[in-house]
Amino acid sequence: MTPRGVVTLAAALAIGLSACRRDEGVTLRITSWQSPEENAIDAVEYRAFEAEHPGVRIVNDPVSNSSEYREIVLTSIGAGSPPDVFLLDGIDVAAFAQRNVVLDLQPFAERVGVQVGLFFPQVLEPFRAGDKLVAFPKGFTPMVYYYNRALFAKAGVAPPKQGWTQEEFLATVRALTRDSNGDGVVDQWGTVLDRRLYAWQAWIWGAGADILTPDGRRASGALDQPEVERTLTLLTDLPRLGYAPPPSTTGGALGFEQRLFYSGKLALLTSGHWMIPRIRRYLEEGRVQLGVVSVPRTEGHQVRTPLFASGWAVPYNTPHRKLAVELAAWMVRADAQRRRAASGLEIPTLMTVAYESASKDTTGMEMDFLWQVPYGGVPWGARVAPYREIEAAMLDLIDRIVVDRVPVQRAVRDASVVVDRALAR
Amino acid sequence: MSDRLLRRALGYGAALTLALVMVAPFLWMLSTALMDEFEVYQAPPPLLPTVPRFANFTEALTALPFALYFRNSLILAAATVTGQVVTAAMAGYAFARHRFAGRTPLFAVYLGTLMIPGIALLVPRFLLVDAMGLVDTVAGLVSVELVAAWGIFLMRQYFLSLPRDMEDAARLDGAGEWQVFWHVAVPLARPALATVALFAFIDAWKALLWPLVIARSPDLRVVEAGVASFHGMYFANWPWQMAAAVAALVPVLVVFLVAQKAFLRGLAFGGIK
Amino acid sequence: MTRAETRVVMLAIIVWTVASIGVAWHTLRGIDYGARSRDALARAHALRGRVPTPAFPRDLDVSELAALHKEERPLVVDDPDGSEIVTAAVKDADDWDIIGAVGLYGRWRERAFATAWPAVAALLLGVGMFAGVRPVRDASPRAAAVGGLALFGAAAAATAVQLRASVPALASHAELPASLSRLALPPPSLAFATLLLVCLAVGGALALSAVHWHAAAAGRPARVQETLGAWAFIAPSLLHLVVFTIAPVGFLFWISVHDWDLLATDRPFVGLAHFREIGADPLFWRALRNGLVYALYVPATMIAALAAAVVLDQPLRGIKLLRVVVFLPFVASTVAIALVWQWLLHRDFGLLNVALAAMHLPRVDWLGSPATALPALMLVSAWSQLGYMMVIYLAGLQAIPTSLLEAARLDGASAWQRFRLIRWPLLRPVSTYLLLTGIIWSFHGFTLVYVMTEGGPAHATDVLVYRIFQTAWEFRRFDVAAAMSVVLCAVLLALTALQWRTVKGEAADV
Repeated sequence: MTPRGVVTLAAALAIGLSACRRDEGVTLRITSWQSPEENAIDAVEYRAFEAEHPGVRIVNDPVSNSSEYREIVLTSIGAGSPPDVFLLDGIDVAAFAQRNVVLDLQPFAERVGVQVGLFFPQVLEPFRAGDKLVAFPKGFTPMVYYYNRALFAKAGVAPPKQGWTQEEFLATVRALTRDSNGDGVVDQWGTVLDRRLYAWQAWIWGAGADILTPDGRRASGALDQPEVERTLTLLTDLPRLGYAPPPSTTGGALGFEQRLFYSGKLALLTSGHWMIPRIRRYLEEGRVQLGVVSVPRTEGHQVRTPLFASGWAVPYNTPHRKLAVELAAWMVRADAQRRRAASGLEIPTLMTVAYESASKDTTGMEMDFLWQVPYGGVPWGARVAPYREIEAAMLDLIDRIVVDRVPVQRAVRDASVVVDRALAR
Repeated sequence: MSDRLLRRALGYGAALTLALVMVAPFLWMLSTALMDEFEVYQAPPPLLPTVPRFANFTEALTALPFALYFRNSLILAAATVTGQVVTAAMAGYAFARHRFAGRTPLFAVYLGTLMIPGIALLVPRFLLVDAMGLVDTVAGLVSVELVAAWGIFLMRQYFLSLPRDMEDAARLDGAGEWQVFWHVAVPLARPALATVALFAFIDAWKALLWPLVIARSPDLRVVEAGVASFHGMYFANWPWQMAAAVAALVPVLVVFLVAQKAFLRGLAFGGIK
Repeated sequence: MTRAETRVVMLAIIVWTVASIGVAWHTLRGIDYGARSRDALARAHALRGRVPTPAFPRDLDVSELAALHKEERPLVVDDPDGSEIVTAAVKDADDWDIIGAVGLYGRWRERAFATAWPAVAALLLGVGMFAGVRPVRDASPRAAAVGGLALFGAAAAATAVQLRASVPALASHAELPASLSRLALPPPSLAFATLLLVCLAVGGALALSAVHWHAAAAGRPARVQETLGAWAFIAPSLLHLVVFTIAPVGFLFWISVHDWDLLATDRPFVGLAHFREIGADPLFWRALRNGLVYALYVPATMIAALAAAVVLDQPLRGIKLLRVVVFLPFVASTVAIALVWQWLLHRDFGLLNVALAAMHLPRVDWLGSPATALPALMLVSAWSQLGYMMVIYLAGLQAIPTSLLEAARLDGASAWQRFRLIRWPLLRPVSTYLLLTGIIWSFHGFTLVYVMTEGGPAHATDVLVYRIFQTAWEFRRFDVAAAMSVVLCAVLLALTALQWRTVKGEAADV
């Protein structure tokens, strides 16, 4: 090697190793699992915040996948280089609160102009951990059934009504499951079975039961009760009796169910508001006509559906505490919520904004979404830390019934034991 | 003559079948990349877009700062390739050609490092790099994969399969160890080096978790992370994701073509012998 | 020592010096930042509400600090370690809340780093180079070794002393931070920095003396000489592996016997409790069994890859393009591939089932039925890795001297004989490599499982590393995941040892 080569290499090494950043002014880092489109909407808010706070620069650093996202946020908080503001999923509240890494926003809410009373109380509830408020909620969705109006019309079946019962549901899916081209094979189904807990939690609640005891300490005494068993039997019978295609074993974002639904081969699909932005254009063009209805309940019990919300939280060790709390508040103020609502991403958490944007909706779906709110419940993830383990156990539970053909009674008992063990740790 | 023609036809037939099986999923990828978003959500899914929508490519590649991501990926890949090729050639050569105290246990340790899944090392490595103050720096991004035991193992195996008479001849001519390595062994191992370089490049190019964890700012994101971010928890943009995935293929294919040339040059060396 | 070797020594010394400066720089900037920040904040919070007694060292400009933060009486927290750091809680400009803790350290970087380091570095660079090159040219390697060792040792000691000496200075001066963000930045742990520097210096000295010893080894027995040469070839990779792989693995072992959470302050030793837990978990054994079955795709793919390599080794027209096509799957984003295959294997719309239906065969729910899900995944893995194995084989085939094949052909060997007797034995080391690494990687890959089946249906495709991923990242039980990783390593070591023994029995050259 020539001396010049040596010098070049040494210089390159020196530059590579000392690649450090210089700070000018204050940089706030904000992170979330949002999609590029959502980030583009939020960028407007960031620029407005920067205009109000000269010298402040906001860097948005999104991570798309959920489990990676959570781990990266926790790791960076633990390593002492936290983001200043991060999006906290309502179902992760207990896990974050247990580790004591989120700033209590309650004492600051007034100072940054957040009037807690203006949020839907049911949506604020998941973010309360004891007497703390761990995030400012920015958007939420209840779990509902979407239905394809065209299929109902074609079959001459009346569209479902809010608060309908399990019996009415069964009659409907029976009427809507058919062989539309007459080749002897069913090609239009009444509904699908979504194996994941978040999709069937509302069914259990609507039957007056629950997967955990009210104190959140155990599953036995709740999950192994007859109401749960009956409801799970009803749900898992759907594919067995042919009212639903065999359940998809793959993740939800992959959209095989959505494919069926959008192409008119499925009458009822359980999902949340997050479906709207993807299909809004087609709703407006009239390519699909959809309605929204509550998850069926049993006679004598009320509708109760989980409200899945997310909110902006501030790590306890952010170096810019005040600015961070201000930014979190900025992101949930009415103007920001209006802008997000206009893109249909989620339901605003401020009551006035939610009703205001629902009143502009021509499909009637938004009002049907809001109908669910008084019946909203707090997802268990906001209350018990090992929620992801419970979710996995519940997925297993359905698999054992559907795939392994284990009797429902035994399956729920075994699942109770697994969940009890996770909760006891 | 006709026998030869038949053999030729058979060869082509086998090659074409293979090619078709290998390429079919990519055609679907490409086709999806050109679809309207709603079109994707049809059942049964259409094979071809009704109207190819080339705008998906420009939209996907501008929805995120992909130019920056490509730059970062290239930096990561260049550093990884340099580090892994140099160390693999040196250590692989020593393990294959030298008899020395501690060779077997040391090689076992090297192989042993292959056993640990990268996912398990992620957090310990992060804490280490954090302690070095390298989080969110280019140095931190490239640091952990500069040496790869598999590359060393691969080079060792290649050196083992090479005849050693040329090296011995050079030694007889009075060349030092370094000269034998640099002037005799390395040129002979060029195809293997190209292989290591190629796979080091691909590894670096497809790396997702480490770059995600080590980058604190979006300026340090890599291409793979960009592709993945079109598919999150509550959303999926199939056309954009497939468009980005197709675009991400291009640099690696270029590298492959270059590496392939090196194999052919290797063939020429083989001929000299 | 030849001229070329002298140059290499020179280069190594320069690289080492620059690297050590870089490491020191970064160590000083960021070491142990997290724990200290947490500590300081916790203590500051504990003191909130009490009337604090200012206990700053005399030369601290309290008024300046107070003016900056509009905080008249900053809280003072003494570090229990002694006078190393004095931390004080600081309120934000709007008297909002405690926003961080300021480390009351002097212009430590200016003092300790700015003065000491360039001097030390220059010393190391200049003298090290002199010590490394000059005596070699003068053919007195022993003097060079002794001199180098002494010089580097002295430099290390000087550095350590310099840093130690600057500690009181750190404690007695308040740095005025440029922005609020600095307030939460406590000074780095100098003890650790010193340790690292000493390690680097001693390592450099040892390496230098080894090189010199090697140079002086002309008169020694060939065996010793060869050992030294080999270790010199191995040193760079070994150094990196020790730091970035072996040390983290050690940490992983440590975690696996403790109750460990990143954010927990209390991490008690629990012995083998985590191992007992996973041993009692039927899902763990299921995953292990699945992994062993899944690994079977490796030998199958190797055979296909060898065949493909032989086909693609021919001088056919368009062969370059074909190679690209076969290689394509290995290159593409795994997530994208998984999504595509999910569609190809779909029960109702998948191409595979459409083809089956066209042949009047029953449709198969490839990913939905426990019997076929794992084979389907194996198929996809084989498809995606065929190109990789093919390239390795291709490179191996290219390395076989054509003269050998030509001679065999002249001797009248058929194509099969040429393959069986020449190519196959010469490809043996390559095959060993592919089998060993292929099996290991089959246990490591989980992206396909993660995207395509999430371990389902009913855990039919659950493999160990997916369980590790899920346990660590979704359930956030890193300690249990570490225990699983340890078990996985043990399993792989056993498998590899088994294979190694088998191939070693067959071929002496491996």
